[in-house]
Amino acid sequence: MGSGPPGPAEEDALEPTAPPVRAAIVTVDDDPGVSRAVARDLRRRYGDRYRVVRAESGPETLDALRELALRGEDVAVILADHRMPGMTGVELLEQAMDLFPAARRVLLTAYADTDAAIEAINVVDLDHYLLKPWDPPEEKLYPVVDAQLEAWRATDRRRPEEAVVVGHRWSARSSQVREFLARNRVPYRWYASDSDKGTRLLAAAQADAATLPLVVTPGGEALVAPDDATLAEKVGLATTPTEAFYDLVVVGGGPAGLSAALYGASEGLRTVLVERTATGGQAGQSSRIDNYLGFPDGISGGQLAERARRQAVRFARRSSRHGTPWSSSSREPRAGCGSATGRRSTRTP
Amino acid sequence: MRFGDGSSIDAHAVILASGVTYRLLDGPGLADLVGRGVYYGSALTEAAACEDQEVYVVGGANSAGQAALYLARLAKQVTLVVRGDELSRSMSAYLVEQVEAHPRVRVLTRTEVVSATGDDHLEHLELRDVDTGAVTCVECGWAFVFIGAAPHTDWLDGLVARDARGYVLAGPDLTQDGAPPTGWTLDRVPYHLETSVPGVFAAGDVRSESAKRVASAVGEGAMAVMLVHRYLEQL
Repeated sequence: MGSGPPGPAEEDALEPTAPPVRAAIVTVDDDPGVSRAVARDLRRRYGDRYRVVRAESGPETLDALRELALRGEDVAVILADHRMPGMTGVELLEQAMDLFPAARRVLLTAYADTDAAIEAINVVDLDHYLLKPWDPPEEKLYPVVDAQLEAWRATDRRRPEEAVVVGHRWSARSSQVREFLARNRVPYRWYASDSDKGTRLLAAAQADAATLPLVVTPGGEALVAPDDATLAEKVGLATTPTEAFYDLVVVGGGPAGLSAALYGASEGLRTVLVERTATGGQAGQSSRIDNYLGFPDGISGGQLAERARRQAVRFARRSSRHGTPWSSSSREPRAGCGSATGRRSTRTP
Repeated sequence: MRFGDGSSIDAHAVILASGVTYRLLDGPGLADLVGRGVYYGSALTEAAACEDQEVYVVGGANSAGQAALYLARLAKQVTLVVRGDELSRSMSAYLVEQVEAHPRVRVLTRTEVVSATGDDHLEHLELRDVDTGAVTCVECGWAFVFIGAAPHTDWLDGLVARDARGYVLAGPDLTQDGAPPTGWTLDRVPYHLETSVPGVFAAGDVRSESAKRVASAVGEGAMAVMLVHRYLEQL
């Protein structure tokens, strides 16, 4: 089939997981009055084009951002107060970068926080720094937000192209496919096979309801009931090691494996990491780890794994004398006479 | 190392860090409903669908507690089903406090899941009181299972020494009374995280006697690389 789903671009209102069209403007301030006032002003001007999301603490904002990410929605601007108990605005923006790297970051501070805010500009690559009070919004707030929205629309976010999954609402394999994509951070939209959109997609791909799930890759290729290995390859996960020989093979992409790959690569060993499903291991599926050293506000296992993966890749690039430093594969390692299922490998030479 | 698709790669050293997978609940109907109301370790993916629903989380370890708290943000009520008599035996104190303080999380101790029923999707769970044996049937559309874990090490059979439950033995756990493991040919004993095969190391949950904590796994991964260096120097 061609690129993208066929038919009109409207959303199926009955699909609970189908994302709405509007990107979000997120605002946070620990003073509920201020938080409400900022949100009110934002809604008045942008409410028709953007969804305004309001929070009163850093952790609450992160929860909201995760929820948005989970639903495949986009965030255009994050407007954060700096001085908040528990988590400062700068700390929040730093963590938010993991979830929505393209979102524009604006700090809204009182005059007394100026120094701290300026110092933090480098840490979080702040896009703008706005002084309270923001009244009248027409003069102080809207011009800033207008400029940020314009910059956001102009960025080549290349809104990570989405895969589409069509399956039975209650099918084990459909659920597995969605989890595989989610854990590998491949954005996707999900349509039940009996929904209007699902039916149209099945017809367009000439697939029938007996062979589900149907996966349409971002490139427009239709895969009928793919196994994990095929899926990994077609959605662009690296599946083949680029060398025949390594100093070190790490089997497994959880915390221990990612740590081993990172240290191996950073110390100059030609290293490959082999993983069956997705990086993160059991910890990667944890919604919140509160007692891991160095993260006083907790961190989700998925975020921790993604940060570790990026870090390992960076070291791999730095010490790489060859081409692509990162490849992975759906394959199972075998020693002697072992068995075989899908396993993904990630190379960090 | 050979792979399922027939290809292979060679290497000087290997670090086994394949971790564990959740153990499957045993009982009538439970296997059939996986992905249709019964889920293993996928609280994040399915959480949005549980809004205002009755949810059961099975297991008493940290992963179960974290999932219960996460799901409780949207669910009507989350019931944590635990086989032991106290949550604190298996869960970190900070999580026990949060779980017990949460208005929409309740804990059923000394209880286990025996079976599940449902046509298209999970509809009922049968729970058994471990002490009295009494079975009750509850209405439930969502069950998330986090019971125990098993290492996935069958592919190492006959090559790397493992304990009775399949965890990989390493370092001091291999040397009984100071004697190296059978088949060990070097004149040194295995390094701390080294398995019964020289140059093959184990780190994290897959290792026998591991601490099952993220920080320990990260530490062991780093330490294994240090030992790989020591091993490579002697090649």
